[in-house]
Amino acid sequence: MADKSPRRVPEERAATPEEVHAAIESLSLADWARLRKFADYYIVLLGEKAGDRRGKDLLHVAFERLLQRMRKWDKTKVDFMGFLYGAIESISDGWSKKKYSPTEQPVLAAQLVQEADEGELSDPVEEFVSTEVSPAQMLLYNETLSQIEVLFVDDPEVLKVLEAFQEGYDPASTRDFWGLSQKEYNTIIVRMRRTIERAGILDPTRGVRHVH
Amino acid sequence: MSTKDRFDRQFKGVVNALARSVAEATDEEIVEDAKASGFNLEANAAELKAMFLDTAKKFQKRKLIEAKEAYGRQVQRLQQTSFQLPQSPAERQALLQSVVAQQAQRGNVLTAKFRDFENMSPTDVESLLQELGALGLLPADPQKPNE
Repeated sequence: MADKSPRRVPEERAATPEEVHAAIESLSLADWARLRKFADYYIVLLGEKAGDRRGKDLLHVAFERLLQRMRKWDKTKVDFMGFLYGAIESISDGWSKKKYSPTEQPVLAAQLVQEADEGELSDPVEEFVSTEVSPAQMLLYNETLSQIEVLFVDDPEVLKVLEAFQEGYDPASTRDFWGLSQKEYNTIIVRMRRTIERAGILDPTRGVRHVH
Repeated sequence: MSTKDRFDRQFKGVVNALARSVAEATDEEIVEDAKASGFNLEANAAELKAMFLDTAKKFQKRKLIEAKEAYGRQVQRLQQTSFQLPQSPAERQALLQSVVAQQAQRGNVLTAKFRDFENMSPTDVESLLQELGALGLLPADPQKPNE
């Protein structure tokens, strides 16, 4: 089960509060934008299970878990951004397994984390695993994918790459499959990202998360 | 495994790739993305940085409060612990001398306030013995100081 106990990072390799503070201070405007957008994408992925949470909430929980040492940042293996990306993915994955009830009041998962007598942290959200996707949410995913495809009807390069992603290929496999150079792939993915963003299809404040 | 009809997996494949593309984008690309979509880089950075720093500050404050509470509980426990001391002031004085001597023999030098115990009031002697008891420095049966 993801993210249930503190990662086994030796204490001497775990970043100190001072190092965390220094890492925050060193982030650039572009880094903060990357973090927000990365987290927003993972909120979109959660669909209805995101409730009222936004990318900012996901980032907040990731950072809180770092402070609580529920997740330790091994500074010898990954930089601060890499640590936060991993935490966001893992927390989002945990939330995606949570059972969804539209009648429940959404709360931040961090508020549910409790400390046992021995100081071990437990997250009850992760005790309730449900990988099922509701039919309505599945329909919405399908519709959203169709909307994305419509944006690129005149762009066969993007459609090729999209098809590979939908088949579960990662970027490296996608490049190999379609014989794309890194530069060609980058050009295509940037074009795809900007077009989708402009269309607002994956805006976490609308679209795939609300079933009407 | 085919992802046909598994629109959740298909969607996840697309969104994961987009998220990764953002993480790997150059600074120039991020700036261009922001211009294209009207995303305010400065406001975003200020908001998120403030959230991180505020969270860290609250966390530190909470840790401090927890440490103070733990200290308070420890002090209270010490205050509530009571040892059966010898009844007479002379016996208590003897017990104190014995404990100090034993500690000195073990190479443990107690603080200066213990050295002048012959001039201490009976109340101070009792208080010191209680403190030593809480620290686990009294013999198993304080009523018999020479054991």
